[in-house]
Amino acid sequence: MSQVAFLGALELGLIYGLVALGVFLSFRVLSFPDLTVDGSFPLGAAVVASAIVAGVDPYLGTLMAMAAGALAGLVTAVLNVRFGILHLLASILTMIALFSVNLRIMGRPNIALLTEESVLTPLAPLGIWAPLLKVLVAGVVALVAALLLIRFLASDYGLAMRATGANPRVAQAQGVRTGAAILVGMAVSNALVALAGALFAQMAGFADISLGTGTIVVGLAAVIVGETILPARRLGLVVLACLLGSILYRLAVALALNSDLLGLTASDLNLVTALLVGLALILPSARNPLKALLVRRAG
Amino acid sequence: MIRISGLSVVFAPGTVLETRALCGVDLALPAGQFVTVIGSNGAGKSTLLNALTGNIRLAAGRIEVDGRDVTGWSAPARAALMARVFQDPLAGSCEELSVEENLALAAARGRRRGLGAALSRELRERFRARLATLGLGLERRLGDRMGLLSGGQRQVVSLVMATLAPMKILLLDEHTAALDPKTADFVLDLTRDIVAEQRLTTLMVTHSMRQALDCGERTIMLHDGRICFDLAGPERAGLEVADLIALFAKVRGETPIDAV
Repeated sequence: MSQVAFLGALELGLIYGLVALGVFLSFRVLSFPDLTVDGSFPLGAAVVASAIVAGVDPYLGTLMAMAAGALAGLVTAVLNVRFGILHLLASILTMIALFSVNLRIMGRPNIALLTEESVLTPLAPLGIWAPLLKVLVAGVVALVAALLLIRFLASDYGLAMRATGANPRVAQAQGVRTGAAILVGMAVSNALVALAGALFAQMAGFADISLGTGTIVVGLAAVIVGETILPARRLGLVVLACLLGSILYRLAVALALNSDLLGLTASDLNLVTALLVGLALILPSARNPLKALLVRRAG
Repeated sequence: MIRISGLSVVFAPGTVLETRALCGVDLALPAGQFVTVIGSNGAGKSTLLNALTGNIRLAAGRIEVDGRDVTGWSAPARAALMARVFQDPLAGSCEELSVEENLALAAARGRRRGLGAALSRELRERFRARLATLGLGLERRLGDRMGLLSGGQRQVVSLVMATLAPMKILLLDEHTAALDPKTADFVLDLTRDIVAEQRLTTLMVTHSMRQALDCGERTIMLHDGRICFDLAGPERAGLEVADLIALFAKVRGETPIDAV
């Protein structure tokens, strides 16, 4: 693998590390399987791209993207909490709606940003090689987000949110407004994912309507890989494992795509990801992994 | 003082499955009173607790705590006034959280939850001291996942959780029913100690008539959603289980019962 390919994989791993943090918050903390992210990732890209093309400051545009993501998460949470729609279905509804919303925001399926300003522009005078600069910026953002998330989850409100996901009845009996906790958690989760989308658009130099496909699976893959590689109990390590998982996942993908032996092309990525996540879900819970795959389960 | 008046709960109203779980229950609990509640399955015991904590919708009635009408309050809002221990030891705490996290969650009941750290050295010290008084060695397991504790240990922690923050009434929902006899006795003794020490107003639902007579100072029997007797003072003092059964049979119209 060339140095550029390696840095590219690292950059993607860190950007999607933000997605992994968001997915960790919804799936693991709130026990809320949330497919909204397939819509909020391109939403973040669409908002920041449209804002930048319209002459808005890239940093402000990135904040706008996060706000839009938070709003998308809120819509899903309200559908579930207020109207009692099954969480998975509620998130699919928002995701489908976002496809149209994203097209409306961009006005066309694709916006090129290569010649536009980005969050990297003010850092250009530092004279750091572009691929390395992207890794550094993505790394700082992902690390700060992870540390803030760790701090939040260790707070009184964060603990209430974890209890909401772990056992809502107990949480309510202890005075936690579980509905509000789900609203806040889903907003934060999707704001993180939209931030990832906004960074991706600026670093890759484009926003595209089809960017979001499979975001949830990639995020989940990162969370699961992280849990497997770093099986920790401490909250801080559990969260950092999401970032680690995302980076390792991207490096593994880059290795596979760069290997002539396997003959894989970029279009095989979704199949490989789905297989990886499927296996990662089956194997850890089985005492005999091979048997779990080959023998039908009784009952 | 907890005052319940005209409390009615109807399940599946307007359908063929309509069930009147509570039919106009009136009950006043003076501060510091320990009341036990008995009744056969379906008598409305659990429904009464759920109605108090705001977990089910009332058809009619009013609930007052120290003169404040809380009838329209949500369950989390009422949690500031009421603490509850569930029957299922596994349902009363979050098994994925550690023992100290469960305790911290409970210690914040009734407080606004902000962004300050949930656990601190002082809080851990307080939990450790509290658990050490139980003599179960739980003070050495603060960092353990709740799911690693036995059912009995979890119920003990649930009871401690319920009594960490101040409250107006403690609600115990057959909290010893799922435990082995020895553990059940331990939890019951602990309950008596805590209630006496903190002078808690307590409503304890129980499946055991023996327990109902041995604990507290007043016993209520529910039947078909109504209070069919309410015993306290001298008329309760000399009462035996057999007397309770006779009393119950009389109320039901001399039919024999299977529960003892």
